[in-house]
Amino acid sequence: MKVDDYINIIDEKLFALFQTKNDEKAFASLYSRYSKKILSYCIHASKDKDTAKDVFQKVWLNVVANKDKFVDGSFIAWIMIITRNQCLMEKRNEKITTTITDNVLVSDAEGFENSFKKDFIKNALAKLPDEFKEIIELKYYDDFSYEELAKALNISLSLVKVRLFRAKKMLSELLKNLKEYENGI
Amino acid sequence: MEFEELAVNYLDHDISDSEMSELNRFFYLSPELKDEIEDIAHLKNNLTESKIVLQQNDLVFLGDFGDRLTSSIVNSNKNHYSDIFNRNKKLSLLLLLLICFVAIIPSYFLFLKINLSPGSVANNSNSTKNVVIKEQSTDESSKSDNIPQNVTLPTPHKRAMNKSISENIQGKNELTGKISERNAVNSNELILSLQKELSGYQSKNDLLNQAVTEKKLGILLRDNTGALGESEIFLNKALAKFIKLNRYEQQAETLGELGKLEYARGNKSSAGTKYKECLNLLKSVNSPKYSYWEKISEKHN
Repeated sequence: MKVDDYINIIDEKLFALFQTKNDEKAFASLYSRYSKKILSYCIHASKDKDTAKDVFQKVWLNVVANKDKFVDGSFIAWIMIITRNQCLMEKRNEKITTTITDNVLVSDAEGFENSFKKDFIKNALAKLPDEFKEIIELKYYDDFSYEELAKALNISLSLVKVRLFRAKKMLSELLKNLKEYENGI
Repeated sequence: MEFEELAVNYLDHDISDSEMSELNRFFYLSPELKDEIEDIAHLKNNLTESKIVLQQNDLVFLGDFGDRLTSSIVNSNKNHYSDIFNRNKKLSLLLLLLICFVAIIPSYFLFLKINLSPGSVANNSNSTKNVVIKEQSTDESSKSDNIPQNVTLPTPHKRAMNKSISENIQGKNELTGKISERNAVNSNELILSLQKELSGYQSKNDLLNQAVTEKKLGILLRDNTGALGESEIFLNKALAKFIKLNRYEQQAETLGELGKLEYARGNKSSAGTKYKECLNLLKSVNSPKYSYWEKISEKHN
């Protein structure tokens, strides 16, 4: 099969090809579909990019090593479970250390403004319940479509929209202070 | 449809007319919902702004890692069959032995039949089967002293061959017994000739050939006669000479042979020590014989 032939194949069929025939092209196709999203998720869930990249590598190595454990269901839901667990494990293992992040080193006023805004939103997101925080991050940071969200979270499409709306509503409440700050009140 | 669902579609600008009228109905019933939606629309911009965009180096990282992962899968495909063999090593070896057994045994008997049948020597023009039938009938007729005119009597040579066939077919034990007897005679002859050779080299003061012959004698005594004590003496003498001559590879191999000797005695630990010395020496001179001795050492451990 040519590489182009894999484009229209659904995730689960691709993974079945990888499982049964060790088809590296099928695996490469899946990797290209989800690698950016997974890395982005890891970056948001980790303290820094290096840790995120470590976690990302562990996720994919886990996928390869445990390929036989995927029996049925959605591939994206399965890989998201692996990613979530890997991020949680990393958080448990990580020691509390103070590091100077890029945000602190921003010197110009505009940069400071952006950095302040980012931190403010990040803190607000951290206050949300896990299921709300996750759905917002997946949608706005990791560019998941509604269909992908439904598969990844193993919920219906309408529930995705309901949950997303409620999450945004809660976040909006938390960010009211930011709005006031921006309006100069 | 729930309000939240309609609101999400509205915010995504992906709302049909019927959905819009349904949403308007919600707004009419609770006007504060409109403000809520406006707040959320504002939030979308903030979230997009705070998104961490993947940089060029992140994309390079993704590409590199993906390539490495895919190539490891390709390599694992290459090793797939060897893995199967390694996993089922015992089974594969058993299968191999079975194939050898099935292939060798019939060909061995065929070999015996062709080489020892009298027809193959005395009467090449006739087929083997015919000759055997002929021989049997003549034997029976000779026993009864009633010799038919049309049957030729076997020659003394044929009789001897016939006897040897029946002896060979009598039993496997008898046959193997003869072979081992012949081997024993052969090894005794070989030992004697090697001892003669050794005394010749001693008179010429040829150290290298002395050492080589002593090593051969040591191996022969150990493997064919079981005289382990004598074997050890010869091997140690050979080793001393190889050390003197700085022959590292031969030194190592003699150490290995001493290891085999210790293993034959049941001293696994001292056998292990000898093998270790042997392997270290072979490694230091980068000898191609290293892998052979490594396998022996592993097998005996």
